[in-house]
Amino acid sequence: MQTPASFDYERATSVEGAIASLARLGPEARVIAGGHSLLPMMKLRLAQPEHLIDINDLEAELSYIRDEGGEIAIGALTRHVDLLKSELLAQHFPVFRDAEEVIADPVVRNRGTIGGSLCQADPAEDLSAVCTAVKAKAVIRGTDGQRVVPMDEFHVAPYMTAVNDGELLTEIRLPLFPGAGSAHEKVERRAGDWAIAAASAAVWVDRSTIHDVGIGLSAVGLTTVHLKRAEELLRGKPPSEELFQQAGQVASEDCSPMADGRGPVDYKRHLAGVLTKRALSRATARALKQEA
Amino acid sequence: MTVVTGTGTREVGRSRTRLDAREKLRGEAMFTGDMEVPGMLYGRVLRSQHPHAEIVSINTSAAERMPGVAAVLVGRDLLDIDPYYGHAIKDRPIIAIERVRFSGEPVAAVAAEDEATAEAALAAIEVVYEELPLVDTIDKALDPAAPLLHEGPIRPGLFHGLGNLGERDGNIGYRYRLDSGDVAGESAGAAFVTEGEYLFPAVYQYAMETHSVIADWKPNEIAIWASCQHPFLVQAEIADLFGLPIGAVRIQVPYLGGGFGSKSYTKMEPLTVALSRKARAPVKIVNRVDESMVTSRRHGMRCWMRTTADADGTLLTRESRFWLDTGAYMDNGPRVTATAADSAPGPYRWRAVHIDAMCVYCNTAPSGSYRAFGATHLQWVAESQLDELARKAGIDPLEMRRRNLLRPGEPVRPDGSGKPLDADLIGDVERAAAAVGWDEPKGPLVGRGVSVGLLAAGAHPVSRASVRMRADGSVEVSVGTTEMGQGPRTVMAQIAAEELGCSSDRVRVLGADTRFTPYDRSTGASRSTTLAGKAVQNAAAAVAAKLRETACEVWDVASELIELRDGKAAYGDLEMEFSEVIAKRFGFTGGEIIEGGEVRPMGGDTGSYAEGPVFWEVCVAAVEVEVDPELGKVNVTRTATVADVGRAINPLLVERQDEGAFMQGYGNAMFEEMVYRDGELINDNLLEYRVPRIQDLPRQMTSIVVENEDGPGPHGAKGCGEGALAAVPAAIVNALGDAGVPITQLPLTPERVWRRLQDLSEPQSTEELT
Ligand SMILES: Cc1cc2nc3c(=O)[nH]c(=O)nc-3n(C[C@H](O)[C@H](O)[C@H](O)COP(=O)(O)OP(=O)(O)OC[C@H]3O[C@@H](n4cnc5c(N)ncnc54)[C@H](O)[C@@H]3O)c2cc1C
Repeated sequence: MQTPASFDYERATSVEGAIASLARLGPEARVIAGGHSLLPMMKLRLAQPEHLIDINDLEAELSYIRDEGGEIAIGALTRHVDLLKSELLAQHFPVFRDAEEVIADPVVRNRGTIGGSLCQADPAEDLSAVCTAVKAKAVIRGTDGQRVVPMDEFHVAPYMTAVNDGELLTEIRLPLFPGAGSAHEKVERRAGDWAIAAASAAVWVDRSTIHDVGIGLSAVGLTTVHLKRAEELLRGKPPSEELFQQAGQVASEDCSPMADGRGPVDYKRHLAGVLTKRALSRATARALKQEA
Repeated sequence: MTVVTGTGTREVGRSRTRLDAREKLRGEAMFTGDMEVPGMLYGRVLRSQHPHAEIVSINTSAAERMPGVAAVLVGRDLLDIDPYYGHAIKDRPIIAIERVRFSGEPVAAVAAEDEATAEAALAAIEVVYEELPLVDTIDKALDPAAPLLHEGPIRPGLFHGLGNLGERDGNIGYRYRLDSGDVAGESAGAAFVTEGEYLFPAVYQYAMETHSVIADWKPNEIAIWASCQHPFLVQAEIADLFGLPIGAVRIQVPYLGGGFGSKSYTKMEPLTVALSRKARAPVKIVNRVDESMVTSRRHGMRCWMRTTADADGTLLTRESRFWLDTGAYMDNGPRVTATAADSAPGPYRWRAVHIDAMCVYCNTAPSGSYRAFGATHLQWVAESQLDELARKAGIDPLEMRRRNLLRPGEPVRPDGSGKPLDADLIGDVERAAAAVGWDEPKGPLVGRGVSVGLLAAGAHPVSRASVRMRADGSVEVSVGTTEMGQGPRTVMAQIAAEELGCSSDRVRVLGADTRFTPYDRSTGASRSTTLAGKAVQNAAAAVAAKLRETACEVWDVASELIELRDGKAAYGDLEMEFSEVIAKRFGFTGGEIIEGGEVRPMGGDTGSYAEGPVFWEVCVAAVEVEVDPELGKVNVTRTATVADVGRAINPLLVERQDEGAFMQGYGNAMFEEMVYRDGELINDNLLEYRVPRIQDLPRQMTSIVVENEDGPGPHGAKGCGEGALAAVPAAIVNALGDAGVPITQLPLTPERVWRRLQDLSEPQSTEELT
């Protein structure tokens, strides 16, 4: 099958309106943003929504990257290309630019959104690992107002998120603390491909110890893997290649990859380790300004 | 980079902008999929999900009753004709008859008012299968207990061109041997020996346009519009299948959105004609990508090879046995097998050679032609053994080649038959090596490699063309070459314009219509510029002669004194526009000059084609790689390929062809692989079948155009556009070997390279193929 089943289509004119429609139509309604994940699913009939609520006209309300003092706020409809080009993000969280340089191709990046990426909740999605590493929070709005959930609670199961029927993801918030450095490392079969494995790391360095750290892995688990045990190992210690090597070891142990068309389990496990080590090392160098 | 440039021509040797560029950029160019004919229905094909099964029954009645459905075609509709075709071996039914031999084989086809209706009708067809034992790999096919995919006597096709096809031996459908000298005796005292087993995966020719056909069957005439590379061969096969004279089959070929061999020979045309015959209306079938991937592909291969050399690196013997997986039907398997065998020795001097090439039936989709077939399969194996011997002997790989490469004029085939070497291979490989910094110092994780090979090019040298000058002096070239992005319309215009002494702007080159266009064997095997181009040149020269003849009469001077230039006949200060010459010739403001040109194996100034091949296409490349051993990633950093074209009619187009061939060779080496599970192709989409993207390209690519004017085509030209494809995987494998990672299986996925490195660091583990 290469054509979607038939559906009703509505273009939202406000966030309020989109949420009202979603609430009214219930589980058979889906938001469509860039459509780069949803449309292929519909063509393969893996998704058969009866109603599509198109939010692409809501750029004024939902597309932005702002410094809100203490936090960077990213609207859910912000496109990959804007994340790639944002100097504000590159300055605070270069991990975004690292990732965006290797996500898909210009066609996908011009339309695909951060909201769509996170809500698709594909374990191979790069931005989910990035958001996990930088300790992002998701702002979810429904008819009864909004709630803010951390990434660990956002991805509840493969292809399932904390966004309920009748709700919309509106914003991603990135807390700002001093001494931050971050990096994304990925191995793919060819340019713009999904990861065989990828690792995102963020570190916050204070007087040459790792004050805090976040690590997220793509494509090596049922959902994005949050490496809590490795973070524990690193926290409070002075950064060193040896320490990162150990964290990599933990990453190999703590991920749970499945074999797929991109790679077998042992190789993915091996990559999880090497990429974690390299991401930590580069993130730290950035925190210490040893690397541009 | 152009090394030598010829002089003394006005059109030839210039990088003219493609004549079709504007039309294509504006989206105005027509492809088969864009076309509609009155009363046309849409066809969809029901394909078998089983790779090997008996068809117990097919019930089409529910589908036939659906509103909008005009006809449903199944095997039993073809009882009144001999429904088997295959240009090499007639082993393939137009649609499955009683048995399916691959997953994806057409079992039924529906013609309906629109595609959605046809698609819905497919779902209403009930097929009951009884599965048969699966023979999905070469190894299984060779098992003496394996079921036979084909039985009964071999039925030669119309165009196998291989002399005696021999007998089938189990599932080995075709076998080709090259034997010369005493291998055992000559290798007995060898100082260095290398031996290994190699695997090459099945790959897909990926062209943007899928196979597309419109067919309109009538009792006395069949009209076809098709995305086919070889319209005249398809015409003959369709005439043969449906019992019509050749001329009663009319094939028109608009632009093709890429071919690369996937549209060589007959593909979806018989099925579309048969469906039109059942529906009594024109029918259009356009494959989806997954359908085209089971319509044609490149053969997978298993290969064993052994090479020996004496103490100073002089080559002694080469032996190879290899098996090509041709799938359920032969398609172009025999020719691919013979060409692979021709490439196995490589262009070196040997004391003895023994090559045994086998083409094996399996329950997978049929394999046919793909740019540089045969050579791509063998060159990386052969060249990696050469490097291994060089390493053992402590000789620089480039020096190893200087010592052993054939020189121009030496026989290429070990038995001395056929065309001797017609290129300067040592010069070619030295230029390529220099372009990747062969002698520069390098780090431990950097490797450099070269590769040299030859591809028997030109196919059968039979081409005709006509050139027609209208009363206003405008020119049409009618030639069967298919324009599929490689630029022949531009090149043919330049060749004709050169003879006529006018600008190529005034020349139109038409797509093939077999009713009017003169015969040309095929568009493939790098033959068009050389052979069809020669026919065009001859035809244009004949038109020029007529122009001179008339000018002589008008001015009453000898014809040698008349020059054709700038669209005019000239003698001293006297000038006449071509339109005036034609007006003088006919004494009227009408009339035309129309002349034909011919190329054939024997006789005339084309006699040298008889030796075969028409020319040896040079396959030379050099590559530099950088390895990340922790990840297994191979970074191709610098590359050079050589387009040894004799004379570049259009240098820019030559470079683009060379780069395109590079890109596909790079894809075959690094990314591409058709993955089967129990006979089913599981990565039948472009997300999981990985054609390289522009961002995957190496940082530095050099295309070296060599013009030694040593080709048999117009102005000393010979074909190009395939060589790099065969040369690049070999050079990459050799560069990787140089970096310490010898490889025996493609593609070079990071995982495979990583695993190889693991194996190498654990010497106790066996060198198993991964
Ligand atoms: C060829 C290709 C290659 C790719 N390669 C990569 C890669 O290398 N790495 C990578 O990480 N990704 C990759 N992707 C995925 C790409 O990043 C996503 O498809 C894209 O970002 C999804 O965003 P979208 O706006 O198009 O989402 P859509 O397809 O519009 O939506 C996806 C899902 O999210 C829901 N949704 C969207 N917005 C909201 C919202 N605001 N609130 C609630 N639900 C919402 C939709 O209902 C749907 O379920 C690739 C995609 C393609 C097509």
